[in-house]
Amino acid sequence: MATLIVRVLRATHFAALLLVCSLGRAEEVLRVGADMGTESDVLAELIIQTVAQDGDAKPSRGPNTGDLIENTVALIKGSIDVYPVAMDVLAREILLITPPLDLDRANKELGLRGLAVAIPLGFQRRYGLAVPESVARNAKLKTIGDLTQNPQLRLGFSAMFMNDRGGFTALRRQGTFLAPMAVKEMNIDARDKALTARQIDVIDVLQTDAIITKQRLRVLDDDQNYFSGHDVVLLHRLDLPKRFPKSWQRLNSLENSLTERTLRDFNWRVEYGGKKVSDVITEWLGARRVSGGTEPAAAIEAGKSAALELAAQPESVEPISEREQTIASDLFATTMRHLRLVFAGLAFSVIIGIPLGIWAAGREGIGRFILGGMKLIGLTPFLALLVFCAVLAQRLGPFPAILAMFVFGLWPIVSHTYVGLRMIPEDLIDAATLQSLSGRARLNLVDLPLATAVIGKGIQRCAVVNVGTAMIAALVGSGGYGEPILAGLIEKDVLRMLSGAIPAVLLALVLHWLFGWIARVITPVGAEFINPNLTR
Amino acid sequence: MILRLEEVTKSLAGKIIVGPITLDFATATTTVLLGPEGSGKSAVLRLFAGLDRADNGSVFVDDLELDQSSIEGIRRKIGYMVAGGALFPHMSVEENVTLRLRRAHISQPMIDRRVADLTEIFRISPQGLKYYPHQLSPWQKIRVAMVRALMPDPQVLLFDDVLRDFDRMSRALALTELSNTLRRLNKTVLWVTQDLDEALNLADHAVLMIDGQLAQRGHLMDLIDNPIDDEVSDFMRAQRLWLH
Repeated sequence: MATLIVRVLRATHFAALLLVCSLGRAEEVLRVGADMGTESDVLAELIIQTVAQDGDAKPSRGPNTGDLIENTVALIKGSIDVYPVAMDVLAREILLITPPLDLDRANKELGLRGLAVAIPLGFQRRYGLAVPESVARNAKLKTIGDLTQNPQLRLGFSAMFMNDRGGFTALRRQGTFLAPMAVKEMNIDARDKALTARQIDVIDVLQTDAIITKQRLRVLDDDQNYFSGHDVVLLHRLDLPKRFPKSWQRLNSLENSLTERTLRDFNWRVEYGGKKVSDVITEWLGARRVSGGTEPAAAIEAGKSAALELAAQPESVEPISEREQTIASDLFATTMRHLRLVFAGLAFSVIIGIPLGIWAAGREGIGRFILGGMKLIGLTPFLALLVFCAVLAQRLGPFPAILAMFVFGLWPIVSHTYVGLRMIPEDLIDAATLQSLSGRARLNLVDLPLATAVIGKGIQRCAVVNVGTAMIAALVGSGGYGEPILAGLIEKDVLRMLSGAIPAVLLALVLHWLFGWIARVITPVGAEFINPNLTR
Repeated sequence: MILRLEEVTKSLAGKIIVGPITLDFATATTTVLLGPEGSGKSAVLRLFAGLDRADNGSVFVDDLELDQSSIEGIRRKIGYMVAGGALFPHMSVEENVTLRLRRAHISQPMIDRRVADLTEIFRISPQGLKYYPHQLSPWQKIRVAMVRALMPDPQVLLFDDVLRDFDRMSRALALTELSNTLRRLNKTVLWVTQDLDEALNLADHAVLMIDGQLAQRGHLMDLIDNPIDDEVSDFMRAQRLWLH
């Protein structure tokens, strides 16, 4: 819940920033984005120096340093061109999907926004648990599992780790051994101070953290694979390879060039060794040029051919019409995703709702109780229901969306089924009894045929409502027509917004008509005459 | 005695609507059940049809006590009709009248013969069999309902105020035709109505119910000329004002 609120606030922040970042794109200069933090500085410097070697652009740091969202906005607007990012962070914070994320998937999602990812740098963002060497020796700690034998150890974890589903949650999910141990959440500075003062024994680290070297920590073996590693890659504008083919080729030489240990060493030298970032990088690049062998030849070749291929593409296409084309070609995929949401939710609502309605209609007291429960669900604002489902499912994406739509769709289905069966006139029910129809036979031969028209109305209602709720579901990353609307809102792109809004209206009309037609076709001749008000 | 109630009471929502009452009807007689609104006439019919169960006492049909085990057998001996006919609107006339026999796996030629016999009596054309209830007039609906009720050849016919919604003209025509047909069929008939005119057209014998109790039974003219108490004479006088 809190995370979601934070996301909404961030999205607003994101939109506001866009207004600020209306600076034109600077040609000839390749701008590199960076967060605050040593590691980001180091990577930005690495990119700058690599491009500077014999690139076709003048590399420089972007106009400002900010967080991931600000940098992504800057990328979209063109005020920076490239920005190193870890795949899990990209998935969670920008694409709103659950990691792991591979390059293909990421590029499919990013393409619409004019962005892409490429060039894994070789090292991964991966959590670990670390203890001071002396503590490790005394307690004979080698693996994370060994912590179980030492419940006296005090754990101090950063807020980032505690709130990351790939962090503390992953640790807790796979083993309950931490339960009896005291876990303290603290900010990173406080954590590091507490460790120095030996007030805590075990901390969370990223494998590249300088503190590992500084405090002589032993990173415990992740024998149970609690933490998964995520490649750090370059997030860049789609047009970057075309605009600066030579620089792009240089950047490709960075593929798989770094290990966690190398980067940790960089970080340590900058943070505690008093070295300048630029010196550290210059030194490393120099050593690399001399040894030569660390650059895999195949990677360079691959980079070259990719760059040539991109350079060969015609440049005459205007960026705006490029986007129109992307939107048009994406409309089909968006429609399919939307239909999938609508029909998945509808199918579950119907499969569960109709039997539930039949069951409730046959039972006096409990039937009304069930109907009341369904009504409560039906009265719940959909966005609230969506949040509950996302919290319950502990994930984002289509799953909580379909779950919420299924639950939300139960009310029209159950109530229409209930009412359809309940409004069958008493004398017809008596007639069925007198014709020795009972139980299932009565249901199949009399009750359901007579209730078909009303149940059909319920299904029609549910389908049309689902078109709308599926759009709201885009807030949890379900995809569909809501997605271009949200993206358009954030980017102040009216065309994008309309590319979601207009098809949605048409789809609602089509489904209304389609299900109305189906309901009329399947309603037996004459059955509508039990209540002529319902025929139209 | 084909129909019998013994010390029967029936209540609905805590209010006694019938009884305690003891009442019987002889085989192959036509009796009119008269009484003001809410006097329990329809409730008596529903008890015999097995649609409601008595709270106390016993209901006998053809000397069989009506209970959970005998009810299906008894249903075959009873035809029950209500105003409007209660035909299934999503079934054609033919489907409506043959539903029960088809479900009992009676052979098609036998069903066809039975349909032919009854439709002739009730003047329903082969074309009319294809119609749906909403295409029928009120009087046609009642006739189809009677065909449906008579399909298993019951011994008893129960009519619950079937001509309630008819105007005077069509009621008179329907009564003429009905009384002839009923005489021909020779069944035990119980006819519920509030209308003395209707009663006089159909039967000589009547049972007058007031407040769920048997008020007086006997020859209709006796009820008119020699009411046993004020309540009976009040009801009869009210009816005769209507009549003239």
